[in-house]
Amino acid sequence: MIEIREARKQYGDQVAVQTLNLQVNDGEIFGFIGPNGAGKTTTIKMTVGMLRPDAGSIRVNGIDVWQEPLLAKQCIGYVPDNPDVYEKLTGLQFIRFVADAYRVPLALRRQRTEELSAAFAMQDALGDLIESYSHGMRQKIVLIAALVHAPRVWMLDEPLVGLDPKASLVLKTMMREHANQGNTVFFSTHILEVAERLCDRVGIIHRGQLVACGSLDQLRTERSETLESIFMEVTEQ
Amino acid sequence: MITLLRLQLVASLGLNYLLQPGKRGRKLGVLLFVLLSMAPAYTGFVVLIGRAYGFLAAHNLPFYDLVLTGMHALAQIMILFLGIPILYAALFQANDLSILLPLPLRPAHILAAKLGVAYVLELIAAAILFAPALFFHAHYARPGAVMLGSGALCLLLLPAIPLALCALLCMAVVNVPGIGRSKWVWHLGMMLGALGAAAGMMMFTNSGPQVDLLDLVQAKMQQVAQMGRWIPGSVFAMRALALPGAEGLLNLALYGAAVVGWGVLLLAAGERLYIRPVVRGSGVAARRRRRADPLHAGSFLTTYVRKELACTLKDPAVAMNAVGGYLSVPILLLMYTILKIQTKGQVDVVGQLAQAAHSPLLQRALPFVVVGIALGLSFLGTSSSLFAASYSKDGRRLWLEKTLPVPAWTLFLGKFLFGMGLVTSLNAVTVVVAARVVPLGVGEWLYILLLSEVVIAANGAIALLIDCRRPKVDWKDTVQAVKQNVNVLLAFGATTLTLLLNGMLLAATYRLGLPASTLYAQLLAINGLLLAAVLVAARSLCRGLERVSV
Ligand SMILES: Nc1ncnc2c1ncn2[C@@H]1O[C@H](COP(=O)(O)OP(=O)(O)O)[C@@H](O)[C@H]1O
Ligand SMILES: [Mg+2]
Repeated sequence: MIEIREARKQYGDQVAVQTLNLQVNDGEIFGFIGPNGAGKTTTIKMTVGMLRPDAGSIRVNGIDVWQEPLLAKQCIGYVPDNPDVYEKLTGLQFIRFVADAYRVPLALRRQRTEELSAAFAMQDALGDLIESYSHGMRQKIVLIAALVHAPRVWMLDEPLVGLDPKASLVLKTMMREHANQGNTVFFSTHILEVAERLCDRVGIIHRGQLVACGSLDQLRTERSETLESIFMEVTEQ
Repeated sequence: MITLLRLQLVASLGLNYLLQPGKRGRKLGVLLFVLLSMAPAYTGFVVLIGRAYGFLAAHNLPFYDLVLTGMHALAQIMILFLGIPILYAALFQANDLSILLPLPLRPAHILAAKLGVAYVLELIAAAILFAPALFFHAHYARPGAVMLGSGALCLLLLPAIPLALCALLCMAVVNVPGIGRSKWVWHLGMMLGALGAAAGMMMFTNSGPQVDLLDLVQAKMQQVAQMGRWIPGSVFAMRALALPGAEGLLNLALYGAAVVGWGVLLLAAGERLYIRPVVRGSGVAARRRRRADPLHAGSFLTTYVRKELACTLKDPAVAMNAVGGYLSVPILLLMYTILKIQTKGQVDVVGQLAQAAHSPLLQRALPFVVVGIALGLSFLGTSSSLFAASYSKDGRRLWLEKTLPVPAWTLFLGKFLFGMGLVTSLNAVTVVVAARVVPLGVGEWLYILLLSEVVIAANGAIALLIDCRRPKVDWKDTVQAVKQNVNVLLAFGATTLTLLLNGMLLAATYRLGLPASTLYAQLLAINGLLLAAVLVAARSLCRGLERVSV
């Protein structure tokens, strides 16, 4: 569960997120959509403990991210929009590095690494230096490392960009299963079809403000027929 | 074409801040600070050249041309050395070819724009070196307006031939199959090249007759000019600078022709050696396959130190800059050996030092020699980017450190322990080598090792803290993270300050005539306290990493 209360963030005098209130429940896939520069990444960074909000509070599974950062981070799996990782480690060394940080027991990390790398077809590349990976492979290794400690809350910033169709399908299936098991999936995207098919609820952010939020059915009855037309309508001004 | 050149200039010099009013003030402040700290050395250089001309004028000696051509040659040689790293960076480290190649541009234009940036940079270096000589030449030698004009032209064209040579060399080496793309080959090659060139120049200028001072100066200038003449084509420039009238102009024209010739050759070769391999896709390093090691579990601190080890030592730019001052140890040894062999044992610094150490005067000052060596070793250990760019070298990857459930202090400690491990091993080797040439007792050397380690630890922690609070995260290549990093300068300043304090303490102890044991204990205690204080402060200050935005 994610609760964002009155969160605000500005860079210098440019407001990136203004007074955001948002709740994502357990068992839910939440799609965070908005045009480029709307404030999606900023919101996610505040939630995963990378960027301190100027005001307001953020709780993950009931733990305040900025008062108990280590506890809160322990239950989050975060995939950033840019997969910048230590190029001089091998894929497996990187997974081990992250797993050590989350103190994942050996049996669990073996099992998760095997499952995830098989799912993303990365077994053969794990011994190579990350330096030699393509963009998509880097994204996959970040995904595997982010999920190796079996976190309850997934925070994914544009996770489908750069993945091949197979990996993309695998990830979407995994997101569904994870939510069905009573966990939380929060992801940002600007691909509306994906959001439409995958999400239980969506939030549309525009110029740092949440301009629409609710389940797809709710939005359809309140506003218009397709997510695309809703999106165009609320981001018009 | 002009737009492309301007874009490349703005991008490679980071000039964008000049166009952004908000950040201008602070960046200009830093620039001003750097310029100011260079000013004394440069003023000295200008005054020296002025003095040389003044001396020649006072003694009515007709060597003006020699000084001018000598400086021209010197500037060319400098550019030959500076040019290789600059061109290597511009041609092979900026990953913008993938953007430029698809644009409707001729390959020659792309190449010319990239070379143009290097040319502008080198022109600045050339002006810094050559313009003072030209100025004093105009003042003392009173050449005609025509000569001055050709002097100015020679200045403008000065970087052309050395740069063409550098570019051809870079492009040729990169195309050597197998090794030409290896960063290790480049970094080691550049270092060994600089070493060899320095040694070669020393041997060349040390040879030849040495009679009285004037002859010596003349001989040196002639030797420098001779070296300049080895750069094909530049002999015309030197004649143009020295010969009056029509002959001078003829040589100027020949010089211009030589520059154009090199330019055409370079563009033709660049098309084949630079653009074509990229289009063919052969410029990609071969992918190495490794055996996957088993997945262990362990403490995060150990894993973090291991990660630091891999990310520092496997990247040549980071590794060479982290090892920093220690690279000068073999260089100094080599210079010492060359000097000793060349002067047939007359100049033997270490031998004379050993003799002096046994003299009664130095026996009294022995504790100060011991402390001096320890402080010198500390300087060697901390004048690098090892601590001062430790966070910066992670750059954008710091998102990971910031989102893992790990206290900022653990990260700090991991970086600190890794840095100390590396420095300690290098420091210990240096002490062992030094102990073989400088005759001090075992106890003294152990104390030197101990004190230098404590001072290095304190300064390293300060440097690490500086980098933790304001790491440079925006870079494309790790060279930018470790070389063009203000934190390295700031940490260097902090080190100088603590060493200065130690020196003052030393002087005070000397005045008071305290015994050696008191001096030793005092320094150890004070530096130990400094280390403890910095670590305690760092424990809370390192949380500032939270505010760093990546
Ligand atoms: N580090 C930063 N410094 C200044 N402005 C920033 C920074 N990061 C983001 N912004 C600005 O904040 C706004 C929101 O950015 P972001 O959250 O990245 O948008 P999104 O992810 O929705 O595309 C944008 O206008 C962007 O220009
Ligand atoms: Mg974004």
